[in-house]
Amino acid sequence: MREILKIMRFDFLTARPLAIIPAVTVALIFFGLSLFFAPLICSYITFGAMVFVIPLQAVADKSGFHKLYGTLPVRRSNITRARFLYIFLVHFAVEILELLLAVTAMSLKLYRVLPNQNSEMMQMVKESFEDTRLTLLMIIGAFTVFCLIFSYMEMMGQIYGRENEFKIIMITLGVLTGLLIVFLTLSDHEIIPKIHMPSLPGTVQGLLLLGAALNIVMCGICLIFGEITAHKLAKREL
Amino acid sequence: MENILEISGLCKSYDDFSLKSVSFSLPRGFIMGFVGENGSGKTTTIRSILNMAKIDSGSISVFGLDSVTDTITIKERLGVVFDSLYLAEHLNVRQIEQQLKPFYKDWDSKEFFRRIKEFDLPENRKVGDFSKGMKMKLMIAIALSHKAELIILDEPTSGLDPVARDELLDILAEYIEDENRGVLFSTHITADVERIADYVTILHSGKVWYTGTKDELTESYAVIKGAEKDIPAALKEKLIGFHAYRNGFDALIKTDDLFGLPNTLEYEKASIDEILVYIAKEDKHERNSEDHAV
Repeated sequence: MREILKIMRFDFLTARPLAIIPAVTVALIFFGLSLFFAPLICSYITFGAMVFVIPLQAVADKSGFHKLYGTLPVRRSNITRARFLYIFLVHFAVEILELLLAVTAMSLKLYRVLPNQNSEMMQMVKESFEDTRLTLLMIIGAFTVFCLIFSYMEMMGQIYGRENEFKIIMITLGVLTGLLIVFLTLSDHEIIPKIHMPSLPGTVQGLLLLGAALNIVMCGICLIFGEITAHKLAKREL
Repeated sequence: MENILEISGLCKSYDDFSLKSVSFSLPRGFIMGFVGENGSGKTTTIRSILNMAKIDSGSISVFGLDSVTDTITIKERLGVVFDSLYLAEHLNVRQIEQQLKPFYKDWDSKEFFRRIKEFDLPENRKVGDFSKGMKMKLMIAIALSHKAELIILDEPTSGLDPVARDELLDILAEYIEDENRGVLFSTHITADVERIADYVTILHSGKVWYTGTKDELTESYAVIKGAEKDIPAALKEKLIGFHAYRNGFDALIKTDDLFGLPNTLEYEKASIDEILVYIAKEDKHERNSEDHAV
């Protein structure tokens, strides 16, 4: 575990100088907007998490990190595992930050200083500040979707190479969309039994529980992706 | 004498190249020049030592430890300098130090910054903007800061200007003053090897052509010149890289074979550079140069 933590720290320090300004800018812009217009805008801060992940591979390729990895006293499998845990932790940290900022925005209710309080638009703004459920849902959803996409991209990129990553992701998305359409069509025509989507929890506490469960699931998925990738890469040379 | 590095029967095959039973050892307290033409297998051997390449057979022992099973322990005590920088180019020296320090138990930050100062490296400039010589010095500073007992350098002087090369060799010479250390120095610039190496291993087409002390190598071979007609028949087969031209010939020969040489033929001690050139020439003439290896 110590090796994994060292590599995660290494990855963070690699990305930090490139990511800190864009990430803070994104966070400030969306937090600023959320303060006045809707706390759920905080969920867009997840875009800021991207800049802590995306540059890593480009830097690794440009700077010949495969050589560095060959000289560091760390197992190669742990280098791979660390990257996936890093992706999870970056998204998790951003999710927590978003929750805190959203709570702050909801407490401050700064929309009250805006003009035309009685307009239809302002009524919608006001409602968004009262809809804690939707805000939570957006934050948890953004975390889950982005964390899943980035860990999957990382796995595909490491296994099949960065040049094939985009192609493979497009194929995956195409196949998944196709399957979903076929599934829904069959279900709609009652060729297969109708699928009822599980309803989301009706309370904030329920949603928080769902969020916690999704965090655990995503952590598990990242760990599994890490293991699969480490296993695939073990056969290759640095 | 205890060996700091020992390679025995190392075999490694790729589609278009293979290392064939490479064996050599480096005793503690010495510098070994690891030479050979491009593509002779120097980098593959180094990658095998670092467990970056998976060996097909043979064994590699560093500090008496197995390079595969004890690779983590070995790398704690090993410094590596490649021909190009392998650090994040957008970071400066301070950020690099922050990044690397947790990986080594014996990391000494004071020593690192002392070396950085000594090597005249700017602390706040991106390392990607460093000159090649500065990048080499940075990698050496890293190796010295975690008290590496063995430094492996893969073509560190190629592309360096003479002043930077000289500085680098001085650093290595100073490093080896501690007799518990060792340096394996791969290069095709044989002048560097002649200057600082105690031992030489010549790799040719994936095989060890020579391994031993530098002095023994240079004393074992001579360049012979003269008229082709003066070569005794028994000697002709022993010539390495024989090259005939209009007014005569030249070739490499083992000094042991010089006995009974006619006075009409001239010879002089061969330099490492000349030895490498004649080995290559021998290949071009499709004669088996391995028969001539020491």
